[in-house]
Amino acid sequence: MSRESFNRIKAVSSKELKEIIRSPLFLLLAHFVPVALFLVFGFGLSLDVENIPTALLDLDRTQTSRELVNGLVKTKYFHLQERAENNQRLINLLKRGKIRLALVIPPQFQKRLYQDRASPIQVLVDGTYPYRGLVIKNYVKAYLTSFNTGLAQNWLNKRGQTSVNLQPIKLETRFLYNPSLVSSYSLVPGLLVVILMMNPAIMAALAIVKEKDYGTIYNIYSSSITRWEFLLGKVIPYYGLNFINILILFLLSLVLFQVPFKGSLFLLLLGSIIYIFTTTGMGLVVSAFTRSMVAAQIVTIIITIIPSFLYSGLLMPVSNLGREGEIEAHLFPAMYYMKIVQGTYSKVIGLKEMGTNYLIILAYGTILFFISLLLFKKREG
Amino acid sequence: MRLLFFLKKEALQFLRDKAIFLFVLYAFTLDVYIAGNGFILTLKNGGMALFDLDKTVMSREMTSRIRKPYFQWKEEIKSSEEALRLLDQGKTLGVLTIPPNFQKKLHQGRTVSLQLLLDGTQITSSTLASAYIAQITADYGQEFALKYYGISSPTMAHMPRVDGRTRVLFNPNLEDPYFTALDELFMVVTMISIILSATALVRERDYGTLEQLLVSPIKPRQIILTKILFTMIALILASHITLLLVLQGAFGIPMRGSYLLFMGVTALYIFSCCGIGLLIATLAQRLGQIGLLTILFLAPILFLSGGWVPTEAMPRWMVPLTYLSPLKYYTDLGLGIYLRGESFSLAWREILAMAAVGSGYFLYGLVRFRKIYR
Repeated sequence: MSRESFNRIKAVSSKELKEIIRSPLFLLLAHFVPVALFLVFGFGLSLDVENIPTALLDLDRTQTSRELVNGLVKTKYFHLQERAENNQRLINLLKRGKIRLALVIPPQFQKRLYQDRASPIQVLVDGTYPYRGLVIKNYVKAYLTSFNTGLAQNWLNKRGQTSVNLQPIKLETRFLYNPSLVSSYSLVPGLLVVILMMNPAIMAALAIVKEKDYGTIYNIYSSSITRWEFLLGKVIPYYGLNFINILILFLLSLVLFQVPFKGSLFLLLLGSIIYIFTTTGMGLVVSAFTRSMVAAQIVTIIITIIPSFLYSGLLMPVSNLGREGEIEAHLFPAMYYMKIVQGTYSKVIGLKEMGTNYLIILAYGTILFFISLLLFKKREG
Repeated sequence: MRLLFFLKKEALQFLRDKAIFLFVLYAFTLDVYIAGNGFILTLKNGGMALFDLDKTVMSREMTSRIRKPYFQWKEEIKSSEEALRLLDQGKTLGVLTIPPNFQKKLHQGRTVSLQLLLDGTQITSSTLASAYIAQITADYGQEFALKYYGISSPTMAHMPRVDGRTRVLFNPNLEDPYFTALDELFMVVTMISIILSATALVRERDYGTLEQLLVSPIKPRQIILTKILFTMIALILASHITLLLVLQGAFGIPMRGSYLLFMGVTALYIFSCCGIGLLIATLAQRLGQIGLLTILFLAPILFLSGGWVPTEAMPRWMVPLTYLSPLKYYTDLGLGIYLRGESFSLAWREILAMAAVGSGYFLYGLVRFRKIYR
């Protein structure tokens, strides 16, 4: 790089930086938005299916029916919200989405059990949220299985078969990397992926289009600066600002959310720097092909928010996505960075296992930079 | 008449910026389609590895029950190091270890412990996988025990037993697109209506065309209302396209409630979002700040809606805040009317609440807007 070229890049960068600094609201937003998102999502983003609002219609009102229900609602999974008077009330509560589970215990429930018969109860599960519906179904089934084992064991005891072990197989389940399935341990680091995609992209999206919109781009058209010098100079301040964001978010995850960090800090930072290079590139491409700031911002929000939330592996592992989702996931850099984040935070794995992710993100970013170079022409039309 | 001309101006402005038009169209069609098709929340073909130290008829019989559609066996491994390596690389969701003498111990009437290792970073899949496998192994154990102790099936029929007859309502097969596609539509509506209305209002100021409008016979209030009216018309049309083409066309999700009620609620919701857009417009000094401001508002709105994060799983102090997110009401109402067939007589409280919250944002935005443009 020649000296003049360096000077020109420096000039563009310092102009861009001054513009950012002189717009205090923008500068505030540049750092405040990531932190605010981190706080909102970090504190409350939980996928646990617990305290499921439940309603009960007990037409039997016996000791056994109470035992059955109390056993269920005293777990942390269910919360008895209402004892309904009739079936219609249950259906209305379900339709309004006020409860997700309704139990109907018919009359003669206890009597049937005392007669050593199968005694039916009705379990109504709200299927509106398929994942939650499935978990609820499984919880109820598991509870009834253990309740029935108790009944059977009692029955056998009464007949003198006391040595019978009806549950000879025990399953010991251990959740690796996140033993108590604390959502925040996997979700807080995952938020880095989302936030470091949205923020750099939306900031960089304005870089060029701003000049087009205000007409100042003509100064650039007529100057001696080359296209790549201009683009590079434009994005350097955004790398800097977002690097600060990486550090802020990383510290918050450790100090405020107390997420254990087990891997190499160097590898995380390296991955993060490459990642913001790429996400800035996404904004740059948008900035190069749109003509107005309105368009640039709408397009960037559409292409970053939803994919980074849904297809990064934050809420759902990528292997669990359908074919279309998986294709979309592989097309966005978020998924690869997520592997680096998880690899350094919770799984301690090295460059050997994760190296390809770095290369893919880097290649992605480089290609984006060249695309914006192609799209950005130093003339109209 | 004047208003019509102004409406036409807004429409032309929207249509002439091809990037905006195309991406909004993308968001309302392909994006919803991909989300509906691509997002599988339930467990399908979860990859499992088997570490079988027993290798007997019974260990095989039991593991063969762990199968599709929920699971698929990826490979059989020979050491626990291999198990950890596979999990580290994310190649499997879990590893099931069957101890030596599994069959022998069962035949001696003793209790055997199996070990299941699951990837805790994949919270949803692991939760479901642990529930399924626990059920499968417990059932297998019980069947064996009953046979072992010579308790025949006629005897079993005389054992007391609670028979849980489970019925899943509104989405009997728990199909994912029912929720994912609809929720995606709600998110898209939110996103686009906020940013379209916010930019429409700031644009004139930033380009310096506001002065022209202010000296024209149109009143400032009319300017705002027309811009919001345009956003509403455009997005109601777009939602129609999604409903017909994607939700009912591609996915065949049946509309159980009233179509009219659904669209009415949608219109009211878009109005609420425009109120937030108006508020953002008063906070932004330049057009370039709209994007970041929108994200700042959008994230909590999406998050507090209860669509992805169940309200009951939130920290207690956060629950009252959900009532500030208009998307919470829209998610409840939209899913309620569309999937659960909620009627107006059941839904009116939420509709009223949404209208109140939406008008709150709108009025606050209007007051601020007037102060600035006086």
